[in-house]
This record gives sequence, structure tokens and C-alpha cells, in this order.
Amino acid sequence: MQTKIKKIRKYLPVYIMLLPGFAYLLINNYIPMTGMIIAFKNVDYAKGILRSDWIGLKNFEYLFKTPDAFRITRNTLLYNVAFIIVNLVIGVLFAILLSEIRSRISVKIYQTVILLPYMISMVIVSYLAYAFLASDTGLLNGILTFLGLQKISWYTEQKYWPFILTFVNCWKYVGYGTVVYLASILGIDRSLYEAASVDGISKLQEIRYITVPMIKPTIITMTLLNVGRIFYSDFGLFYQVPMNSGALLNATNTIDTYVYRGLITLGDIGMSSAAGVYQSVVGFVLIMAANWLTRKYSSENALF
Amino acid sequence: MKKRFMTVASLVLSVALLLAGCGSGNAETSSVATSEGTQEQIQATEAQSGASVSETDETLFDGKKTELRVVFPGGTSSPADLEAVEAGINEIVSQYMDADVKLDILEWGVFSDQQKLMLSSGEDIALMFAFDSSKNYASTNQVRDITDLCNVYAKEALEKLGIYAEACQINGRYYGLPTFHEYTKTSGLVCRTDILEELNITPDTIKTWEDIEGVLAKVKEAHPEMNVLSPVEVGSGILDYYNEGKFDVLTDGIGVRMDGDGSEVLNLYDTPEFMELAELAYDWNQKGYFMGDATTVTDTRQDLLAAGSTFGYIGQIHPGTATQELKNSGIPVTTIPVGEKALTTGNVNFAQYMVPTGCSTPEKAVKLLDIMLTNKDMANLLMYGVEGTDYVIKDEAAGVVGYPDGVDSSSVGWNNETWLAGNGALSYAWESDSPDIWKQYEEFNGSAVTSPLYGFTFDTSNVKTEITAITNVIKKYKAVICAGYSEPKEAVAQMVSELQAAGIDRIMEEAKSQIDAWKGNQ
Repeated sequence: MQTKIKKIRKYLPVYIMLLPGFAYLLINNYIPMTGMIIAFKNVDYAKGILRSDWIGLKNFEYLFKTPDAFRITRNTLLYNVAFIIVNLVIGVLFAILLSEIRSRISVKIYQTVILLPYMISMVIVSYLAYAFLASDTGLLNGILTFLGLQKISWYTEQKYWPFILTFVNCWKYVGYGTVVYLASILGIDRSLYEAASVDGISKLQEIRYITVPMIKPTIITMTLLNVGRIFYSDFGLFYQVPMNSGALLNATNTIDTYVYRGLITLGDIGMSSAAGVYQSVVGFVLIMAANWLTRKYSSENALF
Repeated sequence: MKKRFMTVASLVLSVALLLAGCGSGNAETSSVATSEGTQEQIQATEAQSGASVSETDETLFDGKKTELRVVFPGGTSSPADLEAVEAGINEIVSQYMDADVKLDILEWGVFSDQQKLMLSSGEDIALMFAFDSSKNYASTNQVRDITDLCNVYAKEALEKLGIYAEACQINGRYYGLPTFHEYTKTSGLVCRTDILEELNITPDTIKTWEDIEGVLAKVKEAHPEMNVLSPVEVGSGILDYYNEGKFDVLTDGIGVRMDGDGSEVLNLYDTPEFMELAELAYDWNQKGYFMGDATTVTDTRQDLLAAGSTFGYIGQIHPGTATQELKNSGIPVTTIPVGEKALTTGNVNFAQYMVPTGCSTPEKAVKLLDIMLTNKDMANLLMYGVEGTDYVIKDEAAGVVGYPDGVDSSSVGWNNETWLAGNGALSYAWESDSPDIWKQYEEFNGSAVTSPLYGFTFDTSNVKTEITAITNVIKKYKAVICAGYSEPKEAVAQMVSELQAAGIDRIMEEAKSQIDAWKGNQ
């Protein structure tokens, strides 16, 4: 007991330093969670949120009862799985390539160029894509006509969109992963490489046996964080980039865009909260499961 | 070990917070306090607004300069002469009550979101504009039932509006009052006057859709570089309004025929009329009358007209359309109406002012609405701004006004549209319209066929799940079909079968039973 008090006293300044961060989390992340109750209520503004009637799971029905429910869930999941894999592979590849460049100025330039799209708003990205895909004035159709091929009406042909969206997502977000992976590659002890070169291993072997295993914890952490968001979709990517085109909905409708389109006329906050709760709960379960698996197979890399 | 402890701790904390949230039915949290506050307010107003209410000087002249915020959409949130207009309004209002009116103009792009936020956070707003029916606001009590207050404080406005006020009733109670606007619309071609003249086409000779097609063919031949028709709204197709006036649309996709007795509820996408639209759209698109990428183009029709790359569009037409488009795009246009006109609940109540639940002085708010709908000076201020700076009288006898010298649509300090501005019919006529424009409006409104369901509002709160589902299906097919991109028979059949799978029959049943109940009460 005595030692405990002593300990607390000793670390008191540290605890005080913790307070602002704790208050921030509490106010911004934890207290708003109580808003989850809206999903189970028939909100009546005259009664206020807490006094509105409970209606159980009725607000959730529209997410499951409709024939589109399967499609939007499938789209959301598959796109996110594709994004996680593609961004991981390409991000790590770019990071390794960058780490091999010796000229410091070139590295900085490449890094900036790769990271730049990350800073651009999705609305602007959608117009960049439009510059390529517009049917009359687009660059791609210009190239197709130049080669003597038929023009393609990109915004009405859904079969191309899984690839276009994956490409745009990768182009926009790969820079962020690259920077994180590059930082962790630069943190690897150089003596490992020196020792390996004394043993005379090739570059590929070096990457396979030293670089990748050493950044594995970073890879796992980044992937776990992404798995937790697998039920969310990037609204800008799925709404703005296809220019909200109805003809593409089979390939581009995800949970977020479905909810937005469906509720824009009703404006029912109970039903939109229900979608949020559904996504959060599934995300929570998935991240716990993924972490459990990680702990089972390589416990030192688990998040918690 | 420590990491694990933190996880558990944060989990426990979050669960505890959640439970606290769920169980706080009678806990003293701040949100309970506010909701109780609103509750008391409502009871207070209910008590006041009983049968015994009467207009008294004490309520309106209580010595307090109550701030009355009026929220409506507009092109800019801070027009140059906003303060001058407010000053003018307050001078008028001071004769009726103690109040300080503030105009809160929200830009079009943010209006819907901002409006929902303002209503759900319970801000003290006197009058809120809505350009959809008030039913969703009323069913969640975001706006007040103002029936009793209207009977006391807005008697004159009710009298003036006549049968048009009825459209804002839900189960016999008022939740808002409509502005003066076109209470019906007809569809037709809106197009550039200069090109019509160039091709020697006289608009009066064009009476049918076949005639219109003749015009389009001529334009296509004379100006192959031009888009003949562009979409009427961003994200819509091109012939969306082709069937305007043939149905009373209760909610998108559901309606009744104007020429029936209103008892047969239809899936509007499963009618011969919609098939006709789909086939015509396909045919016209094949003939090259439609702009490419019509459903994804992000330029508004006004921008396209102003850029000179478009001949016109198929849209809704009413007497002021040509002036409205001229003011928005700077291009003189001619309107050629060919469709039918219907007087439906939805056509009237789509533009109305409501009193939000958060309003602290509903009596004064309703009085203000009354002034907006009946006072001539108020109408001029809201429509045209301040006399001398924003407009000048060009012809006193005929009551015609126009821009002062050196001022045009881009430099004027105030700009508003008739359907947003209370009662435009009391104001002057604009110089580009004929002096009897408001009479034309009245005749136009009077000539509409009254729907068998006029006064009925469809309450969709029992079928929200199905509405969400069909909204997505409609989004998927409607614009594509109306822009003629897909083979009509196949696409319409597919759309109908998806609508059925999404539960449109359930919505039709609900509508049918509400209509029967409504008819029983008539």
C-alpha cells in the first residue's frame, strides 16, 4: 500500500500530463458513443432523444430486408479486402525501392510525389478521374480513338469500375503506407545488412530474409487497423469518383452510399444511426477477432 | 500485461458509459434537462393555443425586441444589401409587433444539410423554409402544429391563400403555409430564343411533342456542334418531366391518375405512360438530340446555356420561367409548354414556411408569416430588395420595375426567387415579364385540373424501410432510362421487377389504406 502511494506520487506529473489526452478521448470518442441509443428509438423532437419511444431493431430492418442488402455488403467487404491487399503489397514495394535509393534529394522528391495524392480531396480526385474517363473529352477515349478503337462510355459500363476504383484508391492512399513502411525500414539495424553482405547474399534474399521480416510488426499493425474499418467505405471514393452515376450502382453501391441515397429524402436520423451502429459493431468484432488470431500465431505483434 | 490492462480498462469504461447513457431515463444529465425544457415549452404553447387564443397587443407588443430568424435558401449567404433589406423589413414589422427580424440565407449547396442540423438541434428559429412536404418534419415533431395560431394571427393570409393553404394540412392540421408560387406546372421545351429566331420557328405553332421533335431535328441539322438537349437537373436524365401533370405523385414512384377518382394507386414506373417516355428517350438519344454523359455531367443547365453549348432542355414550365432563367443564366429563353397541368398537394406544399419546435415565440413567428404573405411593401423588399439601389420603378402606372442604370444580375445587391419570397403576387412586375405577370400566374394556377386527392398527404413513416429500398432502385434506373441510354423494354421490365422486390407493393397498399381513410373523413 505504502509503495503504491509512493509510486503514484512519483509518477503524478506523468498522470497530470495524461489528463488532456484522456479528456479529449472521453469527450470526443466515448461520450458520443451514448448516441448509439438513437439507433433504437423513434426520434421525436418534441420529446427529446431520451424520452422518444424505444422501437427495438426496427431501424435496422432496411439494412437487411432489401434485395440490395447482400450486394452492398459484398461490395463493401470485397473492395476493402482488395484495397488492403493492393495497398499493402504496393506500399511495401515502393518503400523498399525508395530505401534502396542513395541520393537523398531523389528520395525526398519521390516520396513527395507519392504522398501528394493523399492530401488531395476526393472531390478533386473525382474530376481528375473525369478528365481521363469523360466520353467526349476524356484522355482515355482520345487514346482509344487514336488507336482506331471504339470509344467506351466509362460512366455507364459497370464492368470496369472494380478496377478503376481499386486503382484510384491505391493511387490516393499508397503514399501514406509507403511513408510508414519506409520509416520502419530506415529503423532497421544496418549491421544486419552488413553481416549479410559479408556472407554474400543477393539483394532479393536480403529483402526476403531481412527487410520484410523486420517490418512485419508494422505491416501487421497497419493491416489490423484497416481490418477494423472493413465495413466502412470511403464515401468520396464510391460516391464522387463514379459521379453518382445510376448505371454503375451494382458495382459501386456500398453500405455508406446506399444509406445516403436512401435516407436523403427521409432524413431519418434513427435509421442512419442504425447503419453506423451496425458498421461499428461489426468492425469491433472483426478487429477483436483479427487481434485474437494474431496473438495466437505471433503474440508479440498483437495490438493488445 | 499492462497493455492488456489498458484494453480491459477502456472496454469497461466504454461499456459503463454506454450503460449510463441507456439507463439515464431519469438521471439529471444535461440532455434530459433540455428535452424537459422543450417539453415545458410545448405544454405552455398548447395551453396558450387552446380555443381561447385571441390576438392581443400584449403578446405581440410585449416590449421585447424578440429576434425572429427566417431561414431560406439563396445563391449567396450574404448579399450586399442584406442589412438594408432587414432594416426595411423591421420598419414594416414594427407596426405589427415588437420584433427584430434576421434573414438567414443558406447557400443552395448546403441548404438541405444545414436545415436538418438546425431543426434537429432545436435552434430558436421563427420561420424555416422547406422545399419538400412538411410531412417528415411533422411526423417527428421538428415543426409545430400552427393551426390554432394561424386562425388567430394569420387570418388574412389564410383568407388570401384560400384552397392553396389546404395543401399544407396534414390530417386537418396546419404545419406551415405555402408561399405564392406556381401551384401547378406543365412540361415542355425551354430553349434559346436567338436560335429559334435564326431558324424562323414561331413558338406559338408548337403544340405537341411531335412538333417539338421537329424543332430538335432542325436545330441538330443547323448546329451539329451543339448539344440539343441537356439535363434539367444535375444527375437527372433528360425527359424526366415528360409525364408532368398526368399523375398526382404521392411519393417518388407512387401515384394516382389525374383523370381517375384517386382510388387506384399505381406504380408509376409500371405504366404505359412511363414506357412511352422510355421509348421516346431511347429514340431521341439514338437520333443524337441528347447531350453525352447526361447523367453524370456536373454543370447546371444554366451554366450550359450560358456557355452556349446547349440549345435547351425539357423541363417544368410556368409563367415566370423565362425571367427566372434569364436572371440565372443571362441568356434569353423561350418557353414552349405542351404538357398537362395538375393541381396536387405536392405541387403546392413543396414551397412553404414552417415554425420549428425550437421557436420560442410562435405567436410572433406566425404573425411574421402573415405579414410576409399579405404586405405589399414586404413583398417588394423580399423580391427585389431596396428601392433605388436594387431596383427602380420604370413605369409607375403599370407597376413595372427593373435594374437601376449600371446594375445587372451579377452586380445587384439582392436577388430572390418568387417561390422563396412569401407573396410575390403583391409585388411589382419585373421589366422582362409582361406587366400582368401575376394575373398570368393566377390564370395559370386556376386553369389546372384539381387532383382527386388534393389535400391528402401520404404519411410514409410506416414504410420507411421500403422507401429507402425503392429510392435506391429508382436512383439506379430512372436517370439512365430518361436519358435514353438503355433499351427501353428490357430496362423498364428490370426496374419494375427490382421495385417489386424492394417492396413497392407494400407502399402502394399503405397508400391505398390511407387514401380510403382520408376519403372516409371527407
